[in-house]
Parts: sequence; structure tokens; C-alpha cells
Amino acid sequence: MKTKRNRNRFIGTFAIALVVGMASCSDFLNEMPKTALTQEQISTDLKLLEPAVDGLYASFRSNKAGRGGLTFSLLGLDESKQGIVQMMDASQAGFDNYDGMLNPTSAQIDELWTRRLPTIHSAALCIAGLDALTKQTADTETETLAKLTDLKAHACFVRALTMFELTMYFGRVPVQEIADLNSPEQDLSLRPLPEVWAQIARDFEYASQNLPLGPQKTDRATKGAALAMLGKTYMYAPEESTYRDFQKAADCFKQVMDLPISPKYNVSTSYSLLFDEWGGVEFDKPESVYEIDYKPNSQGPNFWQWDMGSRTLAALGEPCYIGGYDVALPTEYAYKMQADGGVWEEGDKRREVSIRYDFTYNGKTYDVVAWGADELDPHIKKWEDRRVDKFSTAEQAKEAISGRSFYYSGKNYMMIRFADVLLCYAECLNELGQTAAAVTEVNKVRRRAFEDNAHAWNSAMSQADFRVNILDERLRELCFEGWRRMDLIRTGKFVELISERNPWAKEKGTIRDYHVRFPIPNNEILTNPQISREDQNDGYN
Amino acid sequence: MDGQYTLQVSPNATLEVSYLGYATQTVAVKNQSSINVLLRSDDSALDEVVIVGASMKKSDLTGAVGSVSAKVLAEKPVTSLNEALQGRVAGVLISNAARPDQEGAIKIRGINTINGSTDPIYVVDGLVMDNFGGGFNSVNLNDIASIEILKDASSTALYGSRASNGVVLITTKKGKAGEGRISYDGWFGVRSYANTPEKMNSRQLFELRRDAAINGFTATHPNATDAELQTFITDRVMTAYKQNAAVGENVGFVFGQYELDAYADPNFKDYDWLDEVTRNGTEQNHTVSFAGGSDKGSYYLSFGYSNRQGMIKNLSNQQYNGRINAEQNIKPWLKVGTNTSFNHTVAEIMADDGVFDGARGANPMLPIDYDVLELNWANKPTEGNYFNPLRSMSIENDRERNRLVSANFLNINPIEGLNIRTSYSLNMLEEMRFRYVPNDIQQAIRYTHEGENTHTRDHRLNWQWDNSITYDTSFGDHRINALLGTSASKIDRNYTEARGRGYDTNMLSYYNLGASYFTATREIGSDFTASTLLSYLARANYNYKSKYYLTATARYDGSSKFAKGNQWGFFPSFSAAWNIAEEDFMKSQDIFNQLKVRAGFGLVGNQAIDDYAFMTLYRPQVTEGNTVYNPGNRRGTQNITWEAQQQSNIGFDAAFLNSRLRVSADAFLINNKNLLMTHDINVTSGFKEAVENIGAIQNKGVELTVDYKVIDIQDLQWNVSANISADRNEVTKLYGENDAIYNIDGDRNLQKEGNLFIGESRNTIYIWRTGGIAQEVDAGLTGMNWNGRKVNPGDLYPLDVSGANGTPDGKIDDLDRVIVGSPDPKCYGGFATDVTYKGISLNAVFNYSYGGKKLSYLYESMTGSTGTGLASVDLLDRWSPSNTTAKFPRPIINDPMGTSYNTFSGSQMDFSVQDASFLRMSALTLAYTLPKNIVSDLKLSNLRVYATGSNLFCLTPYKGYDPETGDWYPPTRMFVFGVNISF
Repeated sequence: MKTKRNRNRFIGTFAIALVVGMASCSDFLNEMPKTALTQEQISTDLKLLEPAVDGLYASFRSNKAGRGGLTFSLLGLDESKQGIVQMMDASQAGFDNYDGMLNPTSAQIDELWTRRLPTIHSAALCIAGLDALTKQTADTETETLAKLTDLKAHACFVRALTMFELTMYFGRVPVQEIADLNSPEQDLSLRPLPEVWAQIARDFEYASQNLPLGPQKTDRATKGAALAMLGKTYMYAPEESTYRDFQKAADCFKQVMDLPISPKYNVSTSYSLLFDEWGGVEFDKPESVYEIDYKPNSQGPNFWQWDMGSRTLAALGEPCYIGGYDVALPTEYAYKMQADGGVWEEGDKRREVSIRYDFTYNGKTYDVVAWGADELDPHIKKWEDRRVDKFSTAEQAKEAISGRSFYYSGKNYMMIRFADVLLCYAECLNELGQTAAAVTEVNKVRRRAFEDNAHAWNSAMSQADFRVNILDERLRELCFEGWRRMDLIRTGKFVELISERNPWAKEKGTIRDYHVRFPIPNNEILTNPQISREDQNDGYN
Repeated sequence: MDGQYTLQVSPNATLEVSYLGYATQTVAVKNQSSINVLLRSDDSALDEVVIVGASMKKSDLTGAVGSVSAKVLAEKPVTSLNEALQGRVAGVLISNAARPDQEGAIKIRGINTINGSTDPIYVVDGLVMDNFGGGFNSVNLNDIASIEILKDASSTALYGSRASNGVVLITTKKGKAGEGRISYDGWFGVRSYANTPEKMNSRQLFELRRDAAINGFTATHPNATDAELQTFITDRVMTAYKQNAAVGENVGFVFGQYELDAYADPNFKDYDWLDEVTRNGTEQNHTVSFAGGSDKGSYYLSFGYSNRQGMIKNLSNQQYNGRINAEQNIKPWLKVGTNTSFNHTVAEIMADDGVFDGARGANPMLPIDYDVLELNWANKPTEGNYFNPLRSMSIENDRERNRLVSANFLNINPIEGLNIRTSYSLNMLEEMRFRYVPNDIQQAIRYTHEGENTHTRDHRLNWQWDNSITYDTSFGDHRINALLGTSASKIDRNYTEARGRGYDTNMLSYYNLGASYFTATREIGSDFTASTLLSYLARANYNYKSKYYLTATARYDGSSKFAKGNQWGFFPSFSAAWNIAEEDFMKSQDIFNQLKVRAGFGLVGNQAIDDYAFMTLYRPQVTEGNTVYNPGNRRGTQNITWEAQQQSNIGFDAAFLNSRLRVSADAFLINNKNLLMTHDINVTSGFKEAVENIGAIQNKGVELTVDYKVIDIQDLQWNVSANISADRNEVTKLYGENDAIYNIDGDRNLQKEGNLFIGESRNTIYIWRTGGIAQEVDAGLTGMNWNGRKVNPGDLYPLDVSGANGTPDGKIDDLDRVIVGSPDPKCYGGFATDVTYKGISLNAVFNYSYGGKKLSYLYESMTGSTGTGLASVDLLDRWSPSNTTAKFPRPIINDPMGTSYNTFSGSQMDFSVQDASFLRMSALTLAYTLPKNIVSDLKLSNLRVYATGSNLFCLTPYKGYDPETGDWYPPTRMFVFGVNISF
């Protein structure tokens, strides 16, 4: 009997334990990520939204780095082209050949597209989150409201900056506005250009009204940058968009020139110092309107030297700051003197800063190529970074914390320079019929370039001559800084100048008007139900 | 006990003698005064299997079940479970591992999911295991008593939530009552490469490269004179390239001086780099076990050791196993037990594939050199990535794994037929990986790390708690068995990783992580993840007179991988069987010894996706003191839920000729809906991929198993068994209006495989069709738009199949791609034959596959070679003006001083697609079991010695390494000598 009682007691306890055990499981199935934050958490908390807005700048910075960033956008131009060994990659060669390989299945063009779109979407999400928080914030909480406005201005700036590039390259693109965070369905079809540019103008306008005055001291942009980009918006927007307006553009640039910051933007810094990694290209030049902070190490390199250096020197090993793999090289037009059919005038100090002619390294001059025929032709010099060179002193190379290699080149990138603002302003004045005033602005830039007044342009220059000359002046001042492709597109000179000055395009002779736009990548068409084959840019179907 | 007994019973009484682990015998007394009963060990003791939370009889697993016994497992000495099952069970396709440190892949009944894995779940003594960290493969094969493979819904229903790819049920050994038994099983083997495609020797390579360079010139200079061509050959081809030429010095670009010298030397002998990094691998495996028991309980203890030396010099794997299986009746109504094993594995694992790939592709004209940092062809400058494989061998990459698997139960039997059982199981893995890349090899220079040390510690704990109540009763001819249960499980994982760079000396290897001098770029990382499952299940079995069987199962599962509101899925199943042989009208016939028909229908689920896939995640990114948040590449999809499969199965089991011929056949139809898939999405959405329930796949097939005892007489038995399976799958729906989903790689290229199309098989090869090699007379080709490529006589070209409006448009683009086949076989299976004469037996196991098409990247690269890399001898038949009927196009090398000539390559079109059918002799075993009298003299109960050869031949038209494993590494062949002793 005792056994039976024990047994029953045991079974009873056991059954109770089971029931209690299973019942305590109500939250058992709710597992949340422990090492990441969710979209919902980010969008509803100002403390988290702020670093998410900073994340937009970080995305933009990495979008511009490497091949899919700046490098590919330099290919196939009148100022730059790819090297001979790189041309052996048939698909990549399409950038310069303007032949059938420049087609919607090009992985390189897809890369240009794929990098930029997530940034636009993230910015739209941040803006939607900020708007929702703004609605919930009482009018009396002025500090919070100011913070929200400031962050939205930054998000708008990055979105518009990315959209600006994207539409210049691809034409019609989706316009992302997220009205409600809870219903993520969006129109992702290719929108007409007026809609695209309307958003860009709206965003830059909001940013120019709400960004801090500056000067820029961190990754975050300032009022001057937004105004400059708003000016460029009115200047670069295609006619079809209805947004091109030289008067509005000139007004924006003038505002940049007059911004009451200390010191005011100017072009007093000598040209050679602008690209001197030891001269401190770290937000402290009055030239700098918008600057991207790269590092000569794994923390944020731009990798550009890897693609722009010489393979012959690369054979010496990676800690050679001139080495690289010849992806983007200057064209003859961009490195020769005017007398030899190039763009350069005697006495221009910018030439030697922008272009490497001399391949002397560690006392030895390299004059026989290691492999490709053009490895010792003049190369792009602006992005060389001596901090990663093995002959730099420990102090000079102190930021090369990931080891010294031209792979980790990471000079800061002044994406918007005040010289660019002046030249844009001058161009607008010329278009508005004020050529003499335009020449005055250009001469500010030329004075620095030649370190004298003797090379000043004549204020009696005709409007038509100015149009021709300014394109060359922009090349001399801004070559390899990423504006050339857009300058050729907006001035309608794309086909004419490239077929003349780009040796590969000239040899093929297949460049056509439709090439001003890249094709919409096939992968996008295949995966996006809102874009069909018929929506492809003209010429690529 | 000496076995003497005395009983007083009436003469017409019947004695029933029973003992745990032995078959019960009934003996009619019939006036005998002395009755000797010899109990036979009861094979139906193995009839009990432990399913999740309850134990049940195998015979109650109505449905499609394939079995493999310990005896069959012993026929093929291998160390991993999947290898052991190869070719054994209809409907189970097992492919050997592609890489030496990986495990084989298994597919049960074709493809029923759209996500990557077709792995079934493995249930080891009731514990559900996956293969994370070598999970189920850590089970010592010698400990396995039986394996059941559950193929259809009615049999897998109890595992509903995770059973859509089938269930492999493993039961480990138990002790038996009676005198204890000691066994030793051991084998020793030597492994070597079976076959590799024939490659060109250095002389042939030289000529290939020379021709390619000349072709490059003639292609870009169609109007060149003979004199110009001769100058090119002399100056640019047959003059050596050198890196530091003087100004004005004439250098070529095709050969290095050492290559010209090698070609000029008639006695030149090729350097074999591959031989430097490979060896014959030796493997050994030993297990000692102790088993015994009484009428109150039983135990089984085992210790195992295995050591496998890889065929690549720095690979090895040593494993130590221990197991205790014990159960005890504490009270008449209370039984407890455990199946617990511990596993300790130390392995040198593959650092990367560079060692083998690099050595395989090395230039046979280049002298073997352990000191040089990089290899080269033609002395051509590299981009710093052509690491010397001999130096790469000095990378250390060690892994230690410790695994504890413990399944414990407590069973209460308060009244006859009622069992209440609770079991708690856990599967814990601690894994450590240590990797050191020395500072004096090219990797350290290329990645500027000057020595890199990585430590990773991974912890994973999976627990499972099951409770069940079962009731078993009979009344009259009716038998009912009912089960109610719950199951909860959780997988917790976390890892910590640390990496240091910059090491002064290699002498400390990876031991001193803190000795790194690049302190600013030290890295640390960690992650914690968890997932849970909660299930309620009910099941009822009913049978009438052992003639009619009915089973109904219902399961309600919740998973943490889905958002609230989408977590739960309901999975019912039904099955019925009719044992016709038991019917009265069958008593009078003698054709069928057995005839049973079965039918089943059920729903099973699948939730095998990454954790947290329903949420978009932002991870902190830290650079130089700033933290920012950016979303990852994956868009969270809030409304994803269980993938569901409707499975229907019909089948029969029959036996003829006094049960000498047994036939089983099954046919199934599976409709998979709401398939969970990670797929590429438009980047305009802001993301690159998402997990979604996106479509449906229909899968149907048939399976047939035949077992025939051809000869079964006293001293001679000959047994033949064979199985064949055929299944077809078809994508029947994709999400939205889409009729295709495309697979795009990280470099944004559309892939040849992995795309999905409505109306086609899940696995397809989507590629251009081959037009052929252009000839002088192909005038029709000149008008084609080759989209930037060149096609002239000698060049391969694709066919213009279609344009935007479905007809050829004179342009080659992605609209011309077509589906040219599927890697899935049309049918596959295996067959085996056993001949036993007295103690000698010869056993052969074959497996085969027919009708699959595969891409061989190895053969593609070997036939696309221009002589600056490994080349196939088949390229001797290459196009030239004098050999216009050649199989392969003319090779082209472009001059870096000239312009490029870009052609299509064979790998872009179905030119490169291979037939992957094969017939393989996977094992041949000759064994000798010593006669009982000799064994007894040796005081043993059993002694068997055997020799096995595995993968002795493989007949196939496939041109790469192996039609099953593909092209990562060559297939291997192993010879094994083993012994089984018990006493």
C-alpha cells in the first residue's frame, strides 16, 4: 500500500510539474535579435535615428569609394579612359568602346546602380521616421523640434546628392517617398524627369534652409554644400526636367559666396596644398564646401590609387604609393600641352598636381613598362597617397594603421570645392549674358592656377568662346574629381568631345547620342515588377 | 543460474518462456519430461523506436519507411552517416562531399523546398539534430543499431514542423539481458585519388600558348603579310618576356626564358606541383563496446577512436567518442534511461582552397620552389594574388569540437497500457577555431597584415523537452494506440571572434593572440542568436485483426522565426493500410506470402530559414570612434509564415516464392506551397534580398525496391537487392505575376544556375545555345550583332534564339538564354549483391544516376585554357585553318601592346554542359566469418575479418572530376582492412 501511495504522490507531482512547465511558455516563441536593432526601433527613437542619419553619410562615402564609386564614372570620357590591360575585360571595356558590351547586362553598370539605391531608400526611411516623430512632438519642445529639423535636413541632403548622380547617369529613376512607415509599399517605377528633379530640388532646398552654417568639421554637410548643390541642380538638370534655370542657379552660387561663415569660402589655398595629404586635407581649407573624410587604412579608404596607379610600379609591391592597376588613366587631351593638342597652357601649376608624368621612385626612373603598353604614360596623380608608402617616416604614415599598401589609399575628397562654385557661377553669368562678369569669376580661379595675373582671361571674350573655354577650364581645375561626365552631359558635348578625345571611343566609332545615359540594369528589370523591358532607356533595347 | 528448472504442469499445458531482449517462445508440454528451450535473440526488440517524446513500435510506422540495419552498415566501412546510407534506400539520393572537410549531401524524395537545404532532420534516440558543427555525423556508426528513413507525410507527421525533407531516425544500440558481451570493431584504410581528367604536358601547353598568341595577332591584323606575322612571332612570341628590360630592348609577352628553355630541351621533365601538396591518406577507426543487462535493465558502453589523414598534406581529423546507453526499471511502474554520448574532435581543416587549386594549376615548366612567394606563367607580373601553394601550406587552421548529446527519459506505467513519459535532451557543442597566417608568405604581404591570427569560439546549446501520454489497449480484434504530447525546444548560439594582425615571429603560431603589433586594427566580434519551437501533438492508431490499419496525426507548431500572428501552423495527416494477406480469401493461395497496401495523406511544415528574417536589421558600424546604423542587405518580411507541403503516398509491400522475393513500391505526389525562399529583389527597394513565401513546387515520383534471395541453401546464400527512384519537380507558381526569379551573384552577374521559372524544374541550367564554331563559309553570321564580341572563323558563337517579341532579332543578348537541362537525375538508385558460402561472403554495392546535366567548371576552364593555366588534352583538337572540323575553337591571347579581340567562351553556352549520368561501384567487400568451433576455441563468440574497396570504378561521360561531387576535389578511392570481434 505504501508503494502505491508513493507512486500516486510521485505521479501527481510529476503531472503538476508538466502542466506548470508548459504553461509558463507564453513568451517562449518571441525571440528578438540581440546584436542588431530593428527597423521599428530605429524609426521611432530619436536617439537611434541620429546615428542612422549619420549612417547615410557613411553609405555615401562608401558608395563613392572603389570602382563602382568614382572610378567607373571616370571611364569613357574625354579626360579619362581605361588602360590597355583593363580593356581585356570585354564587359568593362564597354565603358570606353561604347559598343554592344555597354548593355543592360553589364555587371559594372549594375554596380554603379546597386550601390546607390539602398542609400536613397534608407534616407527615405529616416525622413519618414523624423516626420512621424515631429508630428508627435509638442510645439513647446523647441530643442527636440530643432534637432528633428536638422536631422531631416541631413537626410534630405544625402538623398538628393545620391539622386542627383543617379539621374545624371541613368535618366529616369524611381522617386522614393515613404508616407507611412507601417505600409512599406512604394512606387518603384521609373518616374519622369520633372518628378525626379522636383524631389532633388525640394530636398536641397530644405537642406539649404535648415543645415548649420558651417564650416564643415565632421562628415555632416553644411548650408554651403546644400546651396551649392541646389545651384548645380538648376544648372545640371536637363531641359526636359523643366528645372534648368541659370538665374536661380546663379543666385544659389552667389549665396554660397556670401555666406557669413568664418573664414569665408575662398580660393586662397595654393593648388598643390589642396591635394597634399600632409598639408592637412581635413576640413580646414576655406576651399572646402563639401568634403568626404576617407582614411588611409581599413577604416574608410577610397581605394582609388589601386585603380589609378601604374602596374609597372605595382610590381615593386603594394607599399609603393605610385603603384596601381591602370583602370582610369588621363587621355592625351588631359595630359598634353595645348601646343601638342592637349588642354594645358604653359605655367599652369595645376598640371603637375593633377597628373603624374615622372615615374621615378626611390631614386630609380622606370621607363620600360612591365606589361601593358600604357603603364608609364601619364597617370592620375590627385589621389596618390604617400601615407601608405614604405619610404614615409613613421610620423608621416601614422594613419596607415592597416599596413602600408596603395590598396588603402584614402585622401579626403573635396567633392564640392569653392573653385567649382566660382566656375559654375561664372558659367551661369555667361548664360545670362553677363560674360564680362563671368570672366572676372574665372580669373579668380586662374590667378591661383598660374600664380599671376598675366594669364587672366580677357573680359571682352564672347559668350560663345566662353562656353568653349569654360569646359577646358573646368577640366584643368577639376579633372578626375567626378564632375566631367555630368559636365559633358549637361552641355550636350558628350558625344562630340568623347569621340574626338577618347582613343578607344574614337577607334570604335560607335558612340551615339543615347550613350549619355547608362542602360537601366537588366537585373533591376528582371526583379522589379514595376519596370518592364519597354521602360529601358532609348537605344538599349 | 545454471538453467535447470522444474515445473509441475498438466501435460496439455503450454509454456511461455520470455526474457528481456529475447523472443518469447511458447512450447506445448505434450508429456515431455524435459524441455530445453533455446531462446533466440529477439530482432523485434529492435522494433522499438523512440520518436519525439514517446517510444513506439516500428510496425506502427505505417507509411513509406526505408530501413538500414547494423549488419548492412557494417558492409561498408566509412566514418560518416550519409556515406553509409549511399545507394541503400529507394528515394534517398546521397552525394559524396565535394571537399575533404565537408560531409555528403542527402536528398529524400527529390526536391521539396526552394531554399538551399534539402537536408532531412535526424532524430537520434528521440533528439532532433541537424548537422550544425558536424551534428549527426558525430554519431559513431558502430553504435547504431538501426536507421529508419521516413519518407512520406504519414510517417513523418510526428515531426511535422521540420519534416518536409524527410526524417532519418537513428536508434543506437542497447544491451541485452544475459551474459555481457564485449565487441571490438576496427578498420584501417588507405585513400588515394581515383581519377582526374587528363591534362596537357608542358610541351603541349607551350604550343597551345604559342598558337593562342599567333591567333591573337591574326585576329587583330587580318590583313597582315606573312613577313609581318613572322616578325611578330620572332619578336613578340619566341622572345622571352622580362620584367626589367632596358629601354629599347626587345621583349615578348608570351613566354619566360625558363619556358623557352624547357621547350628547347627534349629531355625536359614536367614539374608536378600537385604531388608536393598531396599524399595517400590513411584512415583508421576503432570501437570497443560492452553490453549487458538483466531483467531489470540494460547497458551499452562504447569507446571509439578514429583518425583520418587528409589527402592534402595539412589536413587531418581525429575523433574520440564515448557513449553510455542505459535503462533501468526502478519500480515495476517506473523506468528511467539515458542515451548519452561525448565527442571530442581535433582537426586540421582547410585554410582555403588555394593550396590544392594553386598546385593543380601551377605551371609544369616552373621548378618546384618552397621559397618563392608567388608562382607565375611567362614571368608575367601578377596582381599579387598568385600565392605559392607550398607556402600556403604553412597556414595553420585548427579546430576543436566537443559535443555532448544526452537524451534522458522517465517513463511511468501506472496501469496496463498507459505510459506517461517525459524526456529531456540536450545537444551541446563547443567549438574553437584557431587560424594563423604566417608573416612570411605572400598573403601577409598582399593583405598587409604581417601575420594574422584569428580565434573563434562558438557555443551552441539545443535543448528539447518532450512530454507524452500514450495509451495502448485491445478489445476483441480491435487495437488502439493513442498519444498526446507536447514538445518544446530551443537553440541558443553565441560566438566570439578575435583577430590580431602583425606578428614579429611565426614561432608562437596562433597561441599568443595578444602579441600583435597592429594594435589599432585588432578586431573583436560576437553574436548571439536564439530560436524556439513549441509543439502540441496528437496521434491515434487503430487496427482491426492486424488487417486494417488507420492512423491519424495532428500537430500544432509554433516557431520563433515568424512574427507574432504568423507563428503557428497546423499539420494533420492520415494513413491507412490493408494487410490483404491476412484475409481469409488469401489463405487458399500460395502466390503471395505477404501483401499489404498503404495510402497516406498529410501536411508537413518547414521553417528552415535564418533567424529574425521577418525583421529588417540595423547593425552598428563603428569607424574611428563614431557609431552609425545602416540596414543590412536583407529586407525583413513581416508576414512570412510556415511553408507547407501536401504529401500523398500510395504503396504496397509484397512477398512471393516463400518470401524469397520481396517487392515494395511507392508513388508520391507532393505539393509544396508558400515556399520560403531567400531571393534577390530589386535594389530600388533599398535591399538586395528578402525571405518570402513565394510560390509552389509540385514534386512527384515513384520508388521501387526489390529483394531476392536467389539461392538460399545450407552453405550457400545469394541475395540481390536493388532500388530505383524517379522523381520530377516543377515550379508551379511564383509570387505576384512573376514567371521567373533570377539569381544574381555578388558581382551583379546573372547566374547560369539557381534561377526559377514557372513550368520548369527547380534546378535548371539557363544559358545560351551553342551555334558552333564559325567557318570561312558562314556568311550568314556577318550580319549578326554580337553585342561587342567578335566572331570570325575559328570562334565559337551562341545561337540567336529570340528577341523581345519571341523571334530571332539578329542580336545576342540575355533574351537568347534558354533552359538546356537540369542537374536533377531522371532516375537514380543502387543495387547490391551478397554471396555467402560457409563463412566467406562477397558483397558489392553499386549506385547509379541517369539523366542529370551538370556544369563542370574545371573542364570549362581546362578547355578554355590558352596555355597560361591548366589545359585539357582535348584541346589538341582545336580549330585552325587546317583543322576546321575541330571540337574546340581557336584559343586567343591578346597582346598588351595591341588591341584586344574578345570572343565568346564555351562556358557561356551549352557547349560546356555535361551529362552527369554514372554507374559507380561504391563498395566491394570480401569478408570471412570464422566457423563457430574455431571461434569457441578462441573463447570468442564472433570473429569476422574483411577487406573493402570503395569507389573502385565509376563509369560516366562526365568530363570533370566526378559527376556526383563536382569539381572541387578529385574523387577518392579507398582500400580498407577490418575486423569485428566479440566475446
